[in-house]
Amino acid sequence: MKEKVLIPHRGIIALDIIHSLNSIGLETVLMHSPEDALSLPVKLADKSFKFYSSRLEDSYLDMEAIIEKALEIGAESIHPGYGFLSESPEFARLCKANRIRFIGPDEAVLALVEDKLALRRVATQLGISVLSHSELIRSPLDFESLGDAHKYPIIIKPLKGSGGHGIRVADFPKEADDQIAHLLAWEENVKHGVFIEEFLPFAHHIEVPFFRDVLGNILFLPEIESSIQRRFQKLFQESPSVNVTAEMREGMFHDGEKLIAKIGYVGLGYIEFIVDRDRRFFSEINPTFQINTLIPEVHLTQNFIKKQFAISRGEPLHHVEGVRIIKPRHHVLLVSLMAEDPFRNFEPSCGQVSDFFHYSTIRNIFKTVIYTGARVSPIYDPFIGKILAFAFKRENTIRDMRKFLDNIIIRGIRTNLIFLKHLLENEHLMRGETCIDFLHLKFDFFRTKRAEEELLQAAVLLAACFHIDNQKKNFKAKLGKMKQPGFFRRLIGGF
Amino acid sequence: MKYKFQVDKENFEIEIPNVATFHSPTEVRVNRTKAEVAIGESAGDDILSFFVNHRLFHVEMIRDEGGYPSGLYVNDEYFPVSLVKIDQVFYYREKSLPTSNSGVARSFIPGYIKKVFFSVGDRVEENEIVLIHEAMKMENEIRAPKSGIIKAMGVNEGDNVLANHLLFEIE
Repeated sequence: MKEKVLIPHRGIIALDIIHSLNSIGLETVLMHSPEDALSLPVKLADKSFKFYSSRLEDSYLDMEAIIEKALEIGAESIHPGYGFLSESPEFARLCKANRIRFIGPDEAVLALVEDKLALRRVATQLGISVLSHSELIRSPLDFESLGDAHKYPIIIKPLKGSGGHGIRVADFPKEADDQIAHLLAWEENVKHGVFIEEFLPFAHHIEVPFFRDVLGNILFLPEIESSIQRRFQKLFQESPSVNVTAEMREGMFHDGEKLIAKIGYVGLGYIEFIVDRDRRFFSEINPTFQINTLIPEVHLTQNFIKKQFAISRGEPLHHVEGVRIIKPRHHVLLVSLMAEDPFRNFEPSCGQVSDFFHYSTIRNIFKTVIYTGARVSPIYDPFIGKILAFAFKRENTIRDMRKFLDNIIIRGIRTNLIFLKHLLENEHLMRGETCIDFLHLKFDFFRTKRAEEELLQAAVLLAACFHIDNQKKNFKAKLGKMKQPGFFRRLIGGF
Repeated sequence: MKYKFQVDKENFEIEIPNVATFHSPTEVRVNRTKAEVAIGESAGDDILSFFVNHRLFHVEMIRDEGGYPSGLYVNDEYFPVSLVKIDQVFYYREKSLPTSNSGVARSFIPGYIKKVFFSVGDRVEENEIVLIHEAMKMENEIRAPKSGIIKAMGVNEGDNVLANHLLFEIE
């Protein structure tokens, strides 16, 4: 009998997991919410089961229901994907208690990684520099007692947040008071606390993907720069970063090695650093997949889901003894496709995709969950696809990506495609001058001046549209008149 | 027919033959130049794309409440537009301002009510956050449109709501 794996997830990651684990001969069982009943993962999974409700707490976050189903079908392992339960130490513990393999790091490691301040204390002890941050804040009074010790702008984070949830930036004290009061309106934030740290708008957000096996061998992959974010969702990512020197890169690998060996991490993870000129600060560890996993996969030309699964089974990394660092051969870019309308304040756009087409080359990968006729649900993340391009030179990669975006047609829903196109034409981006607050400091979507020719075309199109519509309306009005009593009598002359 | 439109704050005068249906390429005058226009794809009654000078453009016209064009999407790019006149008739219209003193808040897209901070009978100040409406991972803070007392609450915490659902009413 085939080994079974349960996947309580949705979207692209569910597709990836189903495909990868199917190809190594496992039986994939999907658990999905009623809202996702017609989504692509359901079509590809060997078997699928429905949760009773589409509410997050009753579906993808319902630990008991998931464990119960896993026991019922006799699944050996659960793949939590990313987000949802993937970073929850409690879920890892529950799996262990029920003798189900949780694919990801150990429960104790997850608990440490989740507590951002505790992890930073460990890092400080090892001599790794961290961003200056406050102690835990559980009430507005705690914040007041900090006084004016911190420099503005500051960033406010929930201690146990993930995926960009609840992160806020404050530029001055009054705003900080408001933001903290708002964050503390949530019960879980009061329970776990929030903390503040320095916000460096001109710094770079760098992630280093790594694997560590049970024998302690470590495989490092080239760093990813994901500075360009909107509402803390990564929009544009590149690897290798042009803002990291060779010395800095070595330092990051060195710091990372010390830290993950110390906490006994086993599995796939990402170490996050904030790099400001020649200084680097450790920020956190992401203990799961990211949407950017495609980038290191291209560098290594191996499937990370299979690799992660092998490690969770206790197999060692192949061809790695001690520490191995992979050198990048290509420049890789990844952009995120979101179902939101940039012209209407990034309002999420949901509905049915009426038309979908793309043309790809050997240097592009386009992973998406939409197809002609697919419904984009309003209750989940607007993330609907990721687009990767790679080439030997950075300029060529950007050019290829720009061209590839032109070859995508999506109708029925609004996407941020046009935003990405404008972004890839930005001169600061072309020169590699990315930074954390890029979208506010160096890019103005609405200021891009339109060419005269474009306006002329728009005017012609508008007139044509309007003219045809008017004709139809006139025709219908005439038809309406004909249906009125006495129309034909009046036509003849009336008698 | 002569049309005058404003596209992105610039004026354009366009002349279209009265009988034009664009099923075959038709010449159109725009300002002092000419362009050839023909229908590309259509689905039922809706026209999805046009050829302008043999180049295909996907279009979608957005209309305001009066039925007049207010915006145009051309290949995903958005242009704010307005109709100035048709033949000799002017169509200057005053932009209707959103009535903020109505005190009624409605959901603008379908979503989920994550948190409600007030209940019926509570007093709220203008711009205070009344509830949090989550749609596609985005937390929208729905604020009070005016100061007053909450007269009705259309939702509870944890509800899934459709678009245009009454959220609350302030008196």
